[in-house]
Amino acid sequence: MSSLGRIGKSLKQLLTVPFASSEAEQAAAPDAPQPPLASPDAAPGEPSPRSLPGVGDLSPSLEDYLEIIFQLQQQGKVARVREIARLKDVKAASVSVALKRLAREGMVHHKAREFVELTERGVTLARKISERHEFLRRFLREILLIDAEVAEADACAIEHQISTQTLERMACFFQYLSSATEAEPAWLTRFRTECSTLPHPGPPRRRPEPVPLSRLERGQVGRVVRLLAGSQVRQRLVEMGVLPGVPLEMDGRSPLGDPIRVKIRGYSLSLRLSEAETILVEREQSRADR
Amino acid sequence: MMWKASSNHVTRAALLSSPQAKKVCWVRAALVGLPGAGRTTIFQALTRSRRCMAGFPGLERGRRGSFAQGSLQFEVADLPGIYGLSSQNPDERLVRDYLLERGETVVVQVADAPNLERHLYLTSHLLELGLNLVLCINRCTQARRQGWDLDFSLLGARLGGTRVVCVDGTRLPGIEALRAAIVEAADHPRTGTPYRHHPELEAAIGPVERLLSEPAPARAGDGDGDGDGGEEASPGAAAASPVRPGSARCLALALLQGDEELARRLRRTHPRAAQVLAAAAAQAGLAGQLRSEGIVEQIAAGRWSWASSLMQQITLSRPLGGRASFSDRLDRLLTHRLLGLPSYLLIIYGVFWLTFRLGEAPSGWIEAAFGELSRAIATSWPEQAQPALRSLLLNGILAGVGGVVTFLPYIVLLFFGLSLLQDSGYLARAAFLNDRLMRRMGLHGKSFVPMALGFGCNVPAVMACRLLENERDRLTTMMIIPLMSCGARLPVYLLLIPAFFPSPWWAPLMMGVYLFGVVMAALLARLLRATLLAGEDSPFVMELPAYRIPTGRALLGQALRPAWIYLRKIGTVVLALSVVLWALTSHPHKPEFEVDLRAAAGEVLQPGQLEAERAAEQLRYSAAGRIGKAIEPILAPMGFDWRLATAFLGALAAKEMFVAQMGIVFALGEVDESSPTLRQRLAEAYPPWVGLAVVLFTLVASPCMSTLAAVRRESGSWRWPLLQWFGLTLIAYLLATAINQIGALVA
Repeated sequence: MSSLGRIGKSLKQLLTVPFASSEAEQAAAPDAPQPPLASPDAAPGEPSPRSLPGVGDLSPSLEDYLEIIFQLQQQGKVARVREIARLKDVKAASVSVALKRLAREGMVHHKAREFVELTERGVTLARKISERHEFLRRFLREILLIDAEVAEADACAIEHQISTQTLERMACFFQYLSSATEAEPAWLTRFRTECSTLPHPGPPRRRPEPVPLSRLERGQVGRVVRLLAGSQVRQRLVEMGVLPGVPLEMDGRSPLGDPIRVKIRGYSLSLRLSEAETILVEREQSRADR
Repeated sequence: MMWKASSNHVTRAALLSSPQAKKVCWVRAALVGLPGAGRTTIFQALTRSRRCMAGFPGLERGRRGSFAQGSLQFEVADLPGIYGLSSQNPDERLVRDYLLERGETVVVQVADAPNLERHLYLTSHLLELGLNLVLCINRCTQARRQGWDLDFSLLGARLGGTRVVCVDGTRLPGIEALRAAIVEAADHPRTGTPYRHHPELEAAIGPVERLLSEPAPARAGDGDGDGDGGEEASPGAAAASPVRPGSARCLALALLQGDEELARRLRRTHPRAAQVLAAAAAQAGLAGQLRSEGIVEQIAAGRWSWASSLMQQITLSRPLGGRASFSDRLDRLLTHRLLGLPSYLLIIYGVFWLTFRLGEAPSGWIEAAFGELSRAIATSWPEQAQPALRSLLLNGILAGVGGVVTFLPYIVLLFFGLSLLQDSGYLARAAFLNDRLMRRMGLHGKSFVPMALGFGCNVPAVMACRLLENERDRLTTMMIIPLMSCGARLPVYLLLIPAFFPSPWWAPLMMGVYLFGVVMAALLARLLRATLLAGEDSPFVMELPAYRIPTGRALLGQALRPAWIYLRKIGTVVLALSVVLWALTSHPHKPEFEVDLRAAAGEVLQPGQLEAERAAEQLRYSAAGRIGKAIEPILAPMGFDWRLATAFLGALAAKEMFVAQMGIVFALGEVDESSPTLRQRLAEAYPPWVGLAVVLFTLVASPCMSTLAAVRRESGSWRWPLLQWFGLTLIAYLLATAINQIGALVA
């Protein structure tokens, strides 16, 4: 199986880079790809497997920055603050702050109003980060046969949160699959066939489309999903306890039809329709249906 | 700044050792809490004596009082009700600045036991400020009856030793315990465990907080730090020379959440404003990227989950759901699709009817008493001795004071009724019911109450505007209230409409005048909201509190306070202005009267005619008459002559004076609105369209002095009443001119 072979190769690379920033560990790393099940009891001894969500001490957000700069450089483009802000969809000011932090960590060369360049250390780390992303994406795509789009999104979501230990085990699992035999094991083939016969879930578990709170009928129950209001109203709403995830019940309208009232957190709250428009809720089973 | 960081918590020992200790040992406490938590009730019960102290800037809407316990005097401030401290609502900003600036020794949070979780949300803010907090849990018995069993001692422990006291409204044991807790807190301050946000947020707050509290690089930050408590300079300056550890943190949080008003203030006062603001924007952006929610939601979500986990820890048992509460059932009726509005009108009408009905008798007594008094003085003080002084006392001072005091019973009753509506929780429903209507006019649901009140008297209506929380709504409502045709204008209509129009027209015209006022008010409100008071509508996100029966004591306190303000602040202005008006209408003194000459020449006069003619001549000769004559050309386009001008000058003080002044000008002596002779004279003197112009001019132009004084008091500056006077008078002028010109053209 050629795809497995490719994965096996990228896996080797992957495992040679440990998910810690220190150079010493990096030097020690090449020995890492041990037979996966050969040292099962080594695992408990490892220090806090969940404590390292990212690579080194960088926060997920900073890792993203590093990745973006790396990609820009790979494409032969010059990484400028404005370009980075556009790609990450944030304000330039936030980029500057992030770059300052990265510079402090010794990952980039950056002076105000100039383009950004990764340091050697930055390049190493960025490569690791993007390889990790690539590995996760392929694992999902090629082994679990996840849809391409979903695989990409899930890889993004998983990469910052996954622990070193789990990632290493996943890598080992791959190596095991690819090195066990040139031919695909029978059980894997069976798994693949079964996957393809499974009813295609489409985009998995589509949640009910959020609607504005104003659309709820009296007695209907919903759960807040998002607040779209401007800062003044939003501030007031969160103060009154209207937050994503909070359940509420529509409790009718004023006789003139405009302000509505809802029950939330055990009390009655009134708001105008224009304000209710800005609160997106997921409809839940109404009381009458139950 | 009186209370620097070190002296934040003044212990009794420190107080006693200070040089002023022998005179007074003031310990300061403040009551904070959500609206409807029962703050005011607790405040009334807590403070036996109410005394006003100077030097509470920006706290017009709060109350102050004091109580003594042992050797200590406690000064208690009742701060406006708030939901949190980070919002951009003016009240919350005021409380935030107040707590940061004043460094209260003890801060008492009044919370409502049946709905504790929401109150704990505010507690997280207060703990964050590092205040010496006493948590006063109100309505404990009620909560227990509903089925709540809460472990309050555990709550205190979880909050890091914060003192928790259970009270039941004004019941004495609870209040005594609260007093004891406040004394103890003053002696041994505890700041509790400060509330912490999740680590990523803390990482965002840190840099901004540090920048804020760093002392100014070049000039010493002391200069504006020692403010005399001016509202504006304070928090920024406080940050420049750090006052309290909690202060910079709280301001940093507000900045992270995009408080523009604070940012503006900071730019004026903080030496590193630009740096701080840039850092805040960047950190907020960063924190916003970490999660799918913005920073505002993250901060609030953290607080709410803190509150609910705390609730879970202290709840031993909670009420079983099921049967709708009494409040819910009552609400189903009072906000019913069909019955809601009629019951609303009935309730509001009932309150006003009772006010004016019950106020009538005492008001009459006061008027009669003043009448007796002035008659007694008039008879015992011979006319020849010091005539100017006698006239000043009788026609200036006594008339002015009498006019002010006669309103007092109405004011007390009205505010009693309003507090009843508010404390029972009905006012929130009233706003809920007609917000749509009012919003069309550019007003708020609650504006309806002052406006309806305006039909009785504009002065209490202006004072009732304080029901509105938002400054813009409050000002807009205040500005249009003079267009609500008050009771004092009724005599003018009653005089003029029958004088100029046939009887079938009377009722529709009368109705039309009132409606015209309302329509004008709506138009003007929209105009104001589009120009001077432009801005986003204030959010209507408002709690509909459960109905409850208010305590008589709290109601009485809330009724007497506006009465006191009315007497002291509005009364004095009105008195001064009425003396000025008296001087205008009675000076200079005419040395000899033509009517005397005519009588001497042998002309036969009817009884009383001599005095009436004399009064008319005097008025014509007086400053008011001369002013009337002088402005006659200006008023000519409206068809008004000097007599009407003089009468309107007299009506500046109070609209009903117009009728009396007309009587004097036409030399008819004392008249009232039903005088047939005066009507006849008027109909002879002016065409009917001028009559209509006069009616509308009375409605729109020149709100009376008492109203202006009330607006000055409630808006905090002379700008608004002056604008109101000139604006309305100009509109009335244009209106009356149009009517007169069209009338003349058609005729």
